[in-house]
Amino acid sequence: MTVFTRRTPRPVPKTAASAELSDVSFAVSGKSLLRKVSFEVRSGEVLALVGPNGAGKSTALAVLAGDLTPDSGEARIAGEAVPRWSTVDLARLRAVLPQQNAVSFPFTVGDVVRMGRAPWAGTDAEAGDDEVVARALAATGMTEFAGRRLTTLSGGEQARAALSRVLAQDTGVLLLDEPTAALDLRHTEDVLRIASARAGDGNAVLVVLHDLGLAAAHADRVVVLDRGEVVATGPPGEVLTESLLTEVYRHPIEVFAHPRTGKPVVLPHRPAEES
Amino acid sequence: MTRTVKVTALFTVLAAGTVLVCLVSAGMGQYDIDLGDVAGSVLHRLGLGSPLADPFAESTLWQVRFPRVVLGLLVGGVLGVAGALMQGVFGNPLAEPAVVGVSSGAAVGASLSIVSGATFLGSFSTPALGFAGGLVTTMGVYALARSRGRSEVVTLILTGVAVNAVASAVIAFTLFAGDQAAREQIVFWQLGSLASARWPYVVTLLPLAVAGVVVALVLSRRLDLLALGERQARHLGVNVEALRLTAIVAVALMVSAAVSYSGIIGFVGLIVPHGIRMLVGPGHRVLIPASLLAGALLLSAADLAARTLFDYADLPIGILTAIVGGPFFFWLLLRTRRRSGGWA
Repeated sequence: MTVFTRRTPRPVPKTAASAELSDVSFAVSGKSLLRKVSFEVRSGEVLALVGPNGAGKSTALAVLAGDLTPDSGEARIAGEAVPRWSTVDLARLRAVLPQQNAVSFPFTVGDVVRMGRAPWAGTDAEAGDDEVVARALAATGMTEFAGRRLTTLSGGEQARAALSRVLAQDTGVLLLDEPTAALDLRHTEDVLRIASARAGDGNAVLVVLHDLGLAAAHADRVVVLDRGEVVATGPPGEVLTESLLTEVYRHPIEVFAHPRTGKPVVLPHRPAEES
Repeated sequence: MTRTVKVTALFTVLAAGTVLVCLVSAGMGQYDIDLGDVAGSVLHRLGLGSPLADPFAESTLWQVRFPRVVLGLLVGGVLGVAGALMQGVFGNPLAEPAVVGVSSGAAVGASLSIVSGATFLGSFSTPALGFAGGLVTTMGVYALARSRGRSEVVTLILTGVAVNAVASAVIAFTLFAGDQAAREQIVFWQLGSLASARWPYVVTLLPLAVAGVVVALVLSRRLDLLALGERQARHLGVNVEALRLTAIVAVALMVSAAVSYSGIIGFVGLIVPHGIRMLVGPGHRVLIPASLLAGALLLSAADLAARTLFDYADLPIGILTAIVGGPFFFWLLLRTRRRSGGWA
């Protein structure tokens, strides 16, 4: 039984940090959630997955994470089909931040972040645990909360603790499902700066985002999902256009270049007040 | 106080308390024996010192008192560990071995054996059938609550509720069908008591208890990860299904074996891990060994009270644990809820 097998260290192909869906279709009780979805997040880039509610973003991320088995097509991590990796090997290759991160018992923030090191127990990497945990706490500004019980924290602080845990896992692939949902403006920026920094270190970072302006400002590339299908893939400047977004979100949307940075700013079209 | 100091203090207090309660419990009863004599007799058997002058005291100690004390330690420790294990697996501090149907399943087996007068294993027949009943029920609940290789916590607990209902119907039927003597035996078995303790029972329970506790200790780090959620635990490399199955089998083994000798003793598996968690936090690597000691201490103390509260009467220990445990549990819940805004 695998519960008892000693985890055998297997060299992690850091350079091969990549995750890919190829022609993935997935349906639940006859309702098709993903149709022939293909995209790839490569080493060194932040890929934003955007789209309206129910477009299939979280489902795509779950397939990539290995939580769901696609009806057809294949999910690949580091070039290898997900089912061909063992649970522990996968845990050393990719870290996942789901939307819901409630913890059943009142562990401290420090305990929870240290749990992110679990896949490395018994390997050489274990020696660096303290340092990695400290860095992960510092990255999200949670160092001073390390001794606090999770149940005493606000929603945003709990979300940052969960993100710290994911960062501490120290994997080549990061899959983040709406990491900014509970966060204020400053911490939202922090999270995407962390994502960019990890991409800069050669990691592959996939971020599901609702805020298109955020995607435009921080992502290297954007994948737009609509009703389970990929409708566009490419750099934000090319993909996030008024016509495409207006059609996908079924709501008039304005896109204009930011006067200083030149990056696209995306806003719903609001009629000017008459004076 | 740092955590290490706290944990060390907790283990020291629990261990010292357990030893003390055991000595007192062995000395007290209808024939009182000095604490010094109790200790002396134990030391003598360990090859130190001289035997007791009073041969009646010696035989009372070794044939009546000590089997009961040791059985109390084992049953209490097992119930404490099983409670911690269940709560970890279900991610719910209110889960208890009784919830998955071990206790009522064991009760069904035991009642059937009492009513049918089964004697195929001599005096082991009732414990053996109780054990079989508990194991079969737990595995049944687990099998019924699984779908497509996964088990939902809510489904599992609700299945446990349904199984418990069926089990109490069967027990009620055995009460109806049995004669006067069988009825009394079944009722007393349901109330729980360590009065029937004998060395052979202790010897059969011991390996199962040790095996269960060892499995629980091996699983402890993975149980911590499970607190993050099933999905998160899987992302961190835990084989969640295997973890659950192993934990449930361990609980079924330990608890059926324990309750089949002691009858149903409630609340130990609920209160003990709860109390430990409030003192030193929820990490299972401390929680499980601490629950073992605290369960043993609690049940030994409860048995001492059960034997000595009323002259010439042995109060069923299940009554005692429930009457003290119920309100205490309620108080714990209210207190924890006020302090940390949730069930801890």
